[in-house]
Amino acid sequence: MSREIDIGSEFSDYLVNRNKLQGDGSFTAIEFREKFLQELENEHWWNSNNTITLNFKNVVTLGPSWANEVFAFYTDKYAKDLIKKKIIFKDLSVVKREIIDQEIDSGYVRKL
Amino acid sequence: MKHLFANQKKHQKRRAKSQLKNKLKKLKKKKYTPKRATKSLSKKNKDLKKFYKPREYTHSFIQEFVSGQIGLEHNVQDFVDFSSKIIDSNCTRVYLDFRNATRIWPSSVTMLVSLIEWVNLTSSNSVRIGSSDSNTADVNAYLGHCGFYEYVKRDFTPQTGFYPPNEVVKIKQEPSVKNTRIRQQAILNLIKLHSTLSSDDIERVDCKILSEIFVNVTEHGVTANVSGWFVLAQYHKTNGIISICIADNGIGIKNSLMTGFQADNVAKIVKSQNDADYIETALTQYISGALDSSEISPKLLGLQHAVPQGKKRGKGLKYVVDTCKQLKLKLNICSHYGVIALDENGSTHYKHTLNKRCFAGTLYHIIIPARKVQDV
Repeated sequence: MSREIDIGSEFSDYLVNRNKLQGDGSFTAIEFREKFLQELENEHWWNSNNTITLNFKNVVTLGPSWANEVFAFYTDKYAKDLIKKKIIFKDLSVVKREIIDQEIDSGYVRKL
Repeated sequence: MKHLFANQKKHQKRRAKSQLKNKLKKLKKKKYTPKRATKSLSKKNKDLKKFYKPREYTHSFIQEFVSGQIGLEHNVQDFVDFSSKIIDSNCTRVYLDFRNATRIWPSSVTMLVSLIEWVNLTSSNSVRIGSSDSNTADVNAYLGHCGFYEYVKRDFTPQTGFYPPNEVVKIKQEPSVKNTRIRQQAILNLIKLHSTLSSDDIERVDCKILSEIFVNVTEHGVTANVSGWFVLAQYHKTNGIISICIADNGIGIKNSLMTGFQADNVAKIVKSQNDADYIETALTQYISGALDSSEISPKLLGLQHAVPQGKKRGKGLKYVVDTCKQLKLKLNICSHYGVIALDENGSTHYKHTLNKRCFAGTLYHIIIPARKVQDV
């Protein structure tokens, strides 16, 4: 089972702020995860055949901090290949694809 | 003998137990409980109050002459020499003689605006900053066109024929973080109109450079004590560049790192007190002064998850540097006493820590290639 989210229309076309402390504090990555990716908190979802499609056609700006907090967040628990298999990215520009891939590949936490 | 060995074993066990107890005590101390996090935050706020504590400007008068061009766009050393003389002059009257100035670049205009704000924030007595007109009409026209005269509330007659309105994003002090998107969009429109970058590279500038710089300015440069930040962007057709200045009157990169929760680790990495070294480290390593860059009570910040100390944050400026290098853009960063200038290949061609401030806050300055139009 897969559901599709048109991020630009259903959330925001300006995806830059990681949390309330950044920018104008609106449309943050944490807010997006809580609103639209709740099922991904459940391990059963990752073990099932379900996927989620995120459509970026109406997104104008995607910042690395936002992408890190939304997507790289899951690299703590799940393998990068699994994340890329379960979260399907649609209508991504070359640059936005670069940003998402870089954030998932570099991960959420790293040792100092 | 047997008796001696039995005692030794007992003694070793006791020692190991007490060592373990001490280790656990230290680990417990390191953990950021809500009480400790509140204490750390209130210490940070105390540091900020101390930094901006108004003081009396004690010297009377300084007059600085500008001849020729002044700005990071032209010569980093000249800019730094000029700005460091006036920002920390400690004078109640500052007079800038622009008569022989032939060009005041956007970085200098931004520096002057941040100086005015800095004086407002930190002086307990009245300070007056004045300037003469330039003998070059272009210079006076530019100071009107870029918004500087409007900012200092000086009466002027806008002069037509010098600078078209669609070639500038005027300087303004933003009193809150509300307009970040509007200002970012205005700069992006300027770049789309005039730069020679491809559409993919323009998107890289927007997403990877501008977004991260605005996030830095609003998260680290704007605090409870300082609400203002500035943007000025200008297309210079004869030079074929767009000069973009994004600045704040914050405590600077070094202080931000050293009052943050990664301070201990940062001190181990930097090993000096030089501002420029801290800036360079922030550009090349994953370190951060952000409030959520350490293990901290989620309740305190409204975050869902606490993360282990020193992890997750600190990539922003490195992203900016890497993208500037990829797109062959020059990048200059001035933060209080430190300056770093990177050329188009990402190499540091100027790095210096001064005895006096060269910028009252942090300035991110990027030069984007644009269409060159020769004067006929």
